[in-house]
Amino acid sequence: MGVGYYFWDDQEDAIRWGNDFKKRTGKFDVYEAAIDCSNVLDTVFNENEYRFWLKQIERVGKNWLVKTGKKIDLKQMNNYFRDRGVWKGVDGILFQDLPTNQDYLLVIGFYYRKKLQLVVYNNQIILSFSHYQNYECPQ
Amino acid sequence: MLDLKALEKEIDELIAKDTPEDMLAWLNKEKMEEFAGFLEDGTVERLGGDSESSFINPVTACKPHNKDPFVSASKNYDYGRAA
Repeated sequence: MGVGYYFWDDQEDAIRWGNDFKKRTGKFDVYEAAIDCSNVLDTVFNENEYRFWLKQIERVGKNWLVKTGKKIDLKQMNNYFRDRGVWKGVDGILFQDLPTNQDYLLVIGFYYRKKLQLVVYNNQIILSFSHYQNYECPQ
Repeated sequence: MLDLKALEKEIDELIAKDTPEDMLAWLNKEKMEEFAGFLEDGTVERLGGDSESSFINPVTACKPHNKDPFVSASKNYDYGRAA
């Protein structure tokens, strides 16, 4: 989702991410934040904003394909928006991806649990940020 | 509360304004900047000094990271060695 500050919605996902990606140091810290989401595009729980977002992403993607014959990737699309000064008023985006690790699910092959992340583009909406806990990766 | 109509208008204007040439020029610049980043972070390295025409070390370029444009090169290289 481009350059920004990324937050997990659920502490469980933060810990799993730490366990998966901080193996080299063997430890990591989790911080908690309060964030003003009034100018955040909510593509997860707000149906209207999700459908709006989907439509705009597809419009821009189609425009690239039709005009240049090329598809751009996620990073390029975000940088394209940034360089063209589009959506400067959007302070962040709440989005989801799907868990791919079966170990974290209780029903085989059913990815029923959303992994929610918030990317913050405007750090002024981070109202508080404090240390929550430190963890050690399991051996 | 976000003004979705205003945000949609920004997309309308972007689509109307950018020509294919503008877009391709932007994409080319974007890729060059990304490549410069690879040089900076050591993903690839130049041989033979600082000249712009210096050869990019293909072995080094093939080694690390799953980053474009070297993923396929990396696979070919490893395959070649194994064979």
